[in-house]
Amino acid sequence: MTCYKYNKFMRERRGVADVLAVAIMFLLVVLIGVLLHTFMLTPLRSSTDRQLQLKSEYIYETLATSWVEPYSKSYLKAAADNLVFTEPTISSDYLSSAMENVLKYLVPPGYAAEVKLKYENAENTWGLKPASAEKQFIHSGTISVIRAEAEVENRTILVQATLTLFWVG
Amino acid sequence: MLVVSAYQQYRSSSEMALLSDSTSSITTHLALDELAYVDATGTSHPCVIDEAKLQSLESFKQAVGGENFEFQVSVLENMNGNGREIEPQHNPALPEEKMNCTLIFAVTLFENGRYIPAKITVMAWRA
Repeated sequence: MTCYKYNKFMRERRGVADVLAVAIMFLLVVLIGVLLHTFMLTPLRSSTDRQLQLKSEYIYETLATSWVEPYSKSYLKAAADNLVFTEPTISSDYLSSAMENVLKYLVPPGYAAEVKLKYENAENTWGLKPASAEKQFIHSGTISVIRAEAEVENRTILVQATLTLFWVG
Repeated sequence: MLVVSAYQQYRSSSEMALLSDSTSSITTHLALDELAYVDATGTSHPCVIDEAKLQSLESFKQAVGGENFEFQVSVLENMNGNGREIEPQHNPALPEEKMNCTLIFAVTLFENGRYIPAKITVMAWRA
């Protein structure tokens, strides 16, 4: 009688252990599925971020190399001249309009860009900074401007230029 | 089934990320090296696309990270509303059944002594 009871108890315990093992395995499978679903877009998101950083660098390089027509001066160079000289070759109004047009053309839909140039305490900004942006990608560099000074040789001035690409979303 | 579906989607997302990075790499190679304008002094101008080089481009295959990719390239110059698209003479056709990635980056187009803002479009797929 005692032996029978002991065997029954063991069988019941083994049954509970089996059910628990199956339940844990099931939960594990569900958890893996949920985790894969949660993180499956991470590589794609990182790739998109890298691509947008590259986009901001390309926009900066385009502004640094393409000309404000009909002048033979690049957008960033003209902007730097406007900051340094009191009478630049390209007037401030003309440059603002040209910069607005080029940014409208180069910046993809759903994004906004801001170009900021800084020299000593002076600063000039073109483009629009949105009130809120999901992400922003910054590329900066320097633009050199040569200024002739009385009784001194030409002086090279370095103007800090920054382009920020905003993902408005 | 849930895990298999999630894994398949994860694989597909990773493939897309890889293709996107490879397309970025191809575009950078084209803009900084292969199609970059070289002036009379021999100085190369990165991110300035030479129209003549673009039109005469012959090779549309590139290996990135040990894998071979094929691409299609064009440059759109539409700053003044003209809408002119410049393509190589032998641009390959886009395959219908393969996953592809298209990237559009800002570049400068060198055309008849002028530096014009433009956009380069690169469409890449596995060869």
